[in-house]
Amino acid sequence: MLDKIRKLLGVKDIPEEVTPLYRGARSEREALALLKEARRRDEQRRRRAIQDLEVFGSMEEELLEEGKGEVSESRRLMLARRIKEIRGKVEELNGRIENIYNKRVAIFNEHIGSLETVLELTTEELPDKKTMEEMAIRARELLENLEKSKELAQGIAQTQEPPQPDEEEKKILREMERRADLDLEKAEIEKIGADAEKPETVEPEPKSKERRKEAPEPEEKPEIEFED
Amino acid sequence: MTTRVQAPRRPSALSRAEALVAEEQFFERLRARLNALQGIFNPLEGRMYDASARHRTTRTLEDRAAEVKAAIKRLAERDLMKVYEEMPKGVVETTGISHKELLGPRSVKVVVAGASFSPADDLIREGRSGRAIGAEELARLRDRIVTHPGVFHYIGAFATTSWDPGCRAVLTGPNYLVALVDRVESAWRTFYSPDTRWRGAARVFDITSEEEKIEAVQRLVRRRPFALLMDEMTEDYVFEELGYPIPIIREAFERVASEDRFVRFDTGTRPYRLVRVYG
Repeated sequence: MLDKIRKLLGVKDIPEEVTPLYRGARSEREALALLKEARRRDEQRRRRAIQDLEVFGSMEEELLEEGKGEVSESRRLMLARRIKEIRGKVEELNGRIENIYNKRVAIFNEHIGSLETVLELTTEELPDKKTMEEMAIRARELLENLEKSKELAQGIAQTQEPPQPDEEEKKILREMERRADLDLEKAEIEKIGADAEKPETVEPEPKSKERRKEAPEPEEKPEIEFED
Repeated sequence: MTTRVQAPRRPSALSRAEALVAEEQFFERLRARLNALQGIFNPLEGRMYDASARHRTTRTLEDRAAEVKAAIKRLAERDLMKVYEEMPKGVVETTGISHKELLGPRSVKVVVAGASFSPADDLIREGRSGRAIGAEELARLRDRIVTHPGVFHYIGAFATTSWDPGCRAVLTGPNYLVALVDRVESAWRTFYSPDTRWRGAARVFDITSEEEKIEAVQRLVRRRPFALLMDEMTEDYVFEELGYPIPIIREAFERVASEDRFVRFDTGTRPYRLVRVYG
C-alpha cells in the first residue's frame, strides 16, 4: 500500500508520521479515513493542551499576585519555586503542541488534501462508447430543439410587426387615398379661383406686409453676377 | 519533587438565602439519618441503647432564633422582617434517647444533637459572607447542649460557610463528641475527631449517600484542574478536601478516568492519583 500511495502522490519519501497509517490501510479510501481520524485525534489533543496552558497561565498569575504582596521570605521562595514548576510544565506543553501536534496535523492536512485530489481524479472515469453515442444523439436532439425554438421565436417576432391589411381593407384604404386626392384637387381649384379675384380686393395689413416681404424677390441678385 | 503550594482558596461567600437553604437541607438529612437509627452506643456506660422512634424525643432550642432577631434589630437598618425571613436561624435540634430501667423512671441516656452555625452578623449587614466559624462560637453552643454529665452527647455541628481549623481542638470531651459538617464544592463534608467512642454513631452525621460522594469527588476533580495537571490529584488530596473513605475516592477516580480520555488513574505509585495524559 505504501508503494502505491508513493506512486499515486508522486513522492519519494513518506513521513514517518503517516507511514503506519498507510501500512495499516487496505485501500486509498481507507487510508484517507485513517488520516482523517488521526488528524481529528491530534486536533483534540492540541485543544486539550491549549486549555491546560490556560489553567497554568491563570494559576501562575494568581501565584505571582500572591507573591507580590507576600512579606514572608520563605513563602515568597516557595511561590517562586511553584511558578518555576509551572513554567517548566508550560514549556513542556508548548513543545508538545509545536513539535508534535502542529507538525503532525500539518502533515495530515497535506496528505489528506493530496489523497483526496488523487482519488477524485482516478475515480472520475470516461464514459463508454455507448454512453458517448447516446450523448451525441442527445446533443443533436437538443440542437434540433434549439433550431425549432429559434424559428418559433422568429414567428413570434413577425406577429409583433404592424398587421397587414386584407383585400377589403386595402380597397378601403385606396378609397381613402382617392378621397384625399379629390380634396386636394378641390382645394387647388379654389385657390386658383381666389387668385384670379385678387386685384379687386383690398388686402388687409398683414397680407401687405407679406407682399412687402415677397416684393424683393424679383430684385434678388442672380447667383452669377456679370461684370459691366 | 514538587512544591506543594496552592493558591489561597478563599471560601466562596454565601448569601442569606443560600445559607438558609443549606441549613434546612442539613436538618432534613440529619432527621432522615436519625429515623434510620436503630441503636446507639453510650460510651459512659459502655452499652447500646434502643434508638427506635418510641425511645426518641426531639426538641428545638428556641432561643437561637431570638438571638438572630436581636442581631437583626441591632444591625439591620430596614426591611427587618424580610432579613429575618431570609436568615438561617441557627437551629439546634436535640434528640434524647431515653431508656427505662426495670426499677426506676425513664431517663435520657444519649443525646444526638444537630446545630447550625452561620456568620449571622455579616449576613445581616452585608447579605453575604464566607467567614469561617470559629472555635469559640462552637464551644459556646456545645456547652449549652452538653448540660448533663451522666448523658453522652453526639453533636453534629454544621457550618453554612466553613469551619476554622482551630475548631478541631474542641471536639472531644468526657461526655461528648462533635462532628464538624460543612460543604465544599457543593459536597457535604464531615470531619470526625479521631475517637474510638464514636462507634456506629458517626454514621448519623455522615449525611451523604455513597453515590453522592462519588459524584462529589468527580466534581472536585473537574473543578481543580490545576491539581490534576501538577500530578497532585491524589486520593490523599481528595481525602483532605472531602473526608470521604479512600475506596469511594478510588471508585470515583476510576469513573473519571473511564469518562475522560485525557485522564489516567495511576495506581503504579502510592498514593494513587489521577494524571493528565494526551494519548
